Amino acid sequence: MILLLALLATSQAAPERAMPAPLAAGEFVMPAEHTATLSNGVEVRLVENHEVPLWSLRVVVRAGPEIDPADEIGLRSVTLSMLDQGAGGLDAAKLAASTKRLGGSVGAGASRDTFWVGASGPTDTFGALLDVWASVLLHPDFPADRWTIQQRQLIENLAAARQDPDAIAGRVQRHLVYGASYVGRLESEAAYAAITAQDQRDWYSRYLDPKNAVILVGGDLSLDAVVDALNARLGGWTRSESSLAETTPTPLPFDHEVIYVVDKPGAAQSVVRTLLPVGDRSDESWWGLYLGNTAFGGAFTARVNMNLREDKGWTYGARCGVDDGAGPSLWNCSTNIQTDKTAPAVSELRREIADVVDSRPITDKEIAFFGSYRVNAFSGQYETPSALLGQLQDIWTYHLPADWVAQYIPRVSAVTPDSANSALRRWLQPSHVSYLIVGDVARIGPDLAKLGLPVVQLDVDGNPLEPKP
Amino acid sequence: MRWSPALSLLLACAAWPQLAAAKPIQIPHEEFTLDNGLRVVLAPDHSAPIVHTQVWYHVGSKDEAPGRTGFAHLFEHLMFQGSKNTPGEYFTPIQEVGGTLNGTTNTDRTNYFETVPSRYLPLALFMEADRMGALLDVFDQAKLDNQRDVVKNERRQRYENPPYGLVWVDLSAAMYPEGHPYHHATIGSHEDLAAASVDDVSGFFRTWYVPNNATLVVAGDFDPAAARALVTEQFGWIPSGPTPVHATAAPVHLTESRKIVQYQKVPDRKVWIGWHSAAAFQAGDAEMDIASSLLCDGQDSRLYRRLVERDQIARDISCSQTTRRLGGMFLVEATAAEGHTTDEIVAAVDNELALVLGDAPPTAEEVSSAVTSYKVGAYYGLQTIQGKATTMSGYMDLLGKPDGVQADLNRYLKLKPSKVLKALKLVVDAPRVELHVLPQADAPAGGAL
Repeated sequence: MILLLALLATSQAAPERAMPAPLAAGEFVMPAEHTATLSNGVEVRLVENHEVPLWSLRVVVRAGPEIDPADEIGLRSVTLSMLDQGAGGLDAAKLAASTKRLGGSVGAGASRDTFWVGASGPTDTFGALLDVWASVLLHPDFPADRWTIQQRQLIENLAAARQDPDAIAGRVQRHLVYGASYVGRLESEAAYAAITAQDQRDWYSRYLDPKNAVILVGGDLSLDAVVDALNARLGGWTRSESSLAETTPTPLPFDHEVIYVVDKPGAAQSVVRTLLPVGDRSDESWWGLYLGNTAFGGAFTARVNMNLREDKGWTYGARCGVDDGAGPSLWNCSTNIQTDKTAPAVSELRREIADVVDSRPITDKEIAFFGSYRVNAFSGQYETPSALLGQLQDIWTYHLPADWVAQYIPRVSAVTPDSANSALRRWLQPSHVSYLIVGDVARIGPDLAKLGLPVVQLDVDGNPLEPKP
Repeated sequence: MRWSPALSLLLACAAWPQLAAAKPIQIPHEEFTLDNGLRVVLAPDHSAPIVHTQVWYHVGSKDEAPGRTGFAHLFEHLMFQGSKNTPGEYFTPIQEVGGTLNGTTNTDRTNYFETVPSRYLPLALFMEADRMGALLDVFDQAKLDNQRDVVKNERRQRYENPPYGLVWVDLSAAMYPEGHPYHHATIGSHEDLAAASVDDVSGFFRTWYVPNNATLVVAGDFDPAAARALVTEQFGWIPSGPTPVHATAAPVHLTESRKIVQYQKVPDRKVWIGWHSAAAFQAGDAEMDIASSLLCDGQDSRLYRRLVERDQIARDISCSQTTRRLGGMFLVEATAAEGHTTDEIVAAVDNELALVLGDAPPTAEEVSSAVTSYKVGAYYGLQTIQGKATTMSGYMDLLGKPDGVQADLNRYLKLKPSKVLKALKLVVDAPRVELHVLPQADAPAGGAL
């Protein structure tokens, strides 16, 4: 081996080369945002971009799953997915054929705290695609035969999700963090079976209300053209008097260290996640947490990935992030670990967390490095309108300061090792972290038990199993 | 990894006829070749103060030695482990300046790319050149061992742990005979990964990672004259090597259809039906993209309407035409609705295909809608500087020239339904492979294989 390396070195005599100096900095111009108000009172925000003849548009409504009835969890998502299943007298196939002919797409979707109905396509068919979009938004038919098909698909997809390790982890995580509150209530066969087409009509007429809406547009369009097109189509869509109360989910208390395990017999790897609610973006310490976490686990070169992947080789990758939404943000690390290294990986994660808030705080060098990483990456993130529109949607949804985007570079640059470490010490209390593992209990259980933490076994829906006799 | 969806997308991309007739899509660029054989494309685009570099090495898993499946991809990982003049992690200097980066490997090629603020173009070129010219100087066994473990975990995460994750591996083995460059999937096997040695690394590097087997595309906010000087300075010192001999293979024709049934820990009954189809840019390739689209894309497509909507025997269905250098594969994939079997699905697919080939051929509107989707897709592909560079790299790899967008698009624009029909008939009338993956509860009593 030594001989071989010597051979390699001599036969490859590559020259010494110095790293070249950077060039002059390019000028970054933040894309401009144009706003207008439609005749029905809905605000429109447009980010123009004329590089390619494409556009996208969405009406966003601020309302999360808290509006689902307790026995019909998923009604919001279901109703939205039914909008393009028949509208304005056109059935699902005809709607699909018309959007395809026009080179675009029309559809609806939901995130945790908002939902939307959107369209996108080439500039030369903007008007015609907007007609299809308006029809789906304003005149959905909710055909019962299409619901029967979708209902079966949803129920069968749910059964499939219960056998997919990553999907299991996603569902159980919600339940562990939010318990019986609205975010933690999981979709079920019973809930899907209970939902009727009439329930969808009722939900639609109650919640698809311009009162809680904003319209976000990006691409090869002008504000005048957008406003005229929308006014011509949305004139009859009027705001109700009632206003939708905003709800904020509250996580369960996280006050002790615990390992939750879901059994996945025969798994080649274990899905490993750390869970911990932390502060939200209105908290002064959020920026310290953001950059401190970047150094801890938020990038390829951050501590956690360098340890578990580049040093140990136990995983294809490991990342930690701060997930922001309504209510407290969720700090979580996520990695898939080869089965026989599951308990050692949990030990490493525990050690990294314990060290960063104690013996091995984030260093000056790390703050300089990851601060540079975040600040320099900023200008590349606004190349397409969708990036800025995503930020605008966040600002609108979560009532962030209007200059949230403009403040990014100064706020990240202002983070010091002290402010990052005090944020990490405040939020990442090692004794409060939960670990969620989906893996082969027969193989990982004995080693996990030796870690000295409580181990709670859950079923695939996150409910505790009775201990085996 | 797997086969690159990005690759098949860009091969299939196109723009729309009205515009195309008046104004062909052209990406301003210049092209030159260094003395060592490195082909270079510079495409200035000042829409954002960033630059994106793509280095494509014309080597993929098809070129691997026997007993070394997965090596091209393992090697890709090793290219991020440092070189003589930047001996640490490749990610570190790039992330420090706000860059994003990665690499991918498929059967046909391996690519490496980064986006950095435009002022750091010299750094990106320096880093790419250093690993092209001086990787082995600092390479050692520990790096190989570490990344071998990482790749094994990539295999577990993407192929072994998810239900149905190994289907592509099994399909490749069934569709292509032993010894064919596509017989094994790019991820390779644990056994072959374990066998990879430091010797293999130096041999592979010297054979394939020579400048005369690579292409560099730079797109973004730079001055072309300055960039040309930089590229020449950074890459010019690297010696060229012998011209590597790429794997070749004649088109595969199955002599008879095969039905493979597996019983696994999976939730649903699923089936894949694979046929051999035209290689990239060969006659029938564009036609099969369009056929695939009108059969499966959207709720108005033929197979969706038949199996999901009318018969309600499938929960979902999709089609794909995977275009590669040594041959294409047309694939229909479906999940059985509860209470239905994959045999019912295969029968219904066959029946619907017979209708399309007989009494109900593709209409002009179906074909034109599918072509429109490709046209729009071309513009989505050119939306970002990275998209532009990747698109041009793809054409360099397959056509030997960067400006293939319009020529590619023209293949689609002239398609008539009769040509689509003819290509589809040629493909699906030939023998095929059916892979049925069923839950263990379906296994015949007494135990199945």
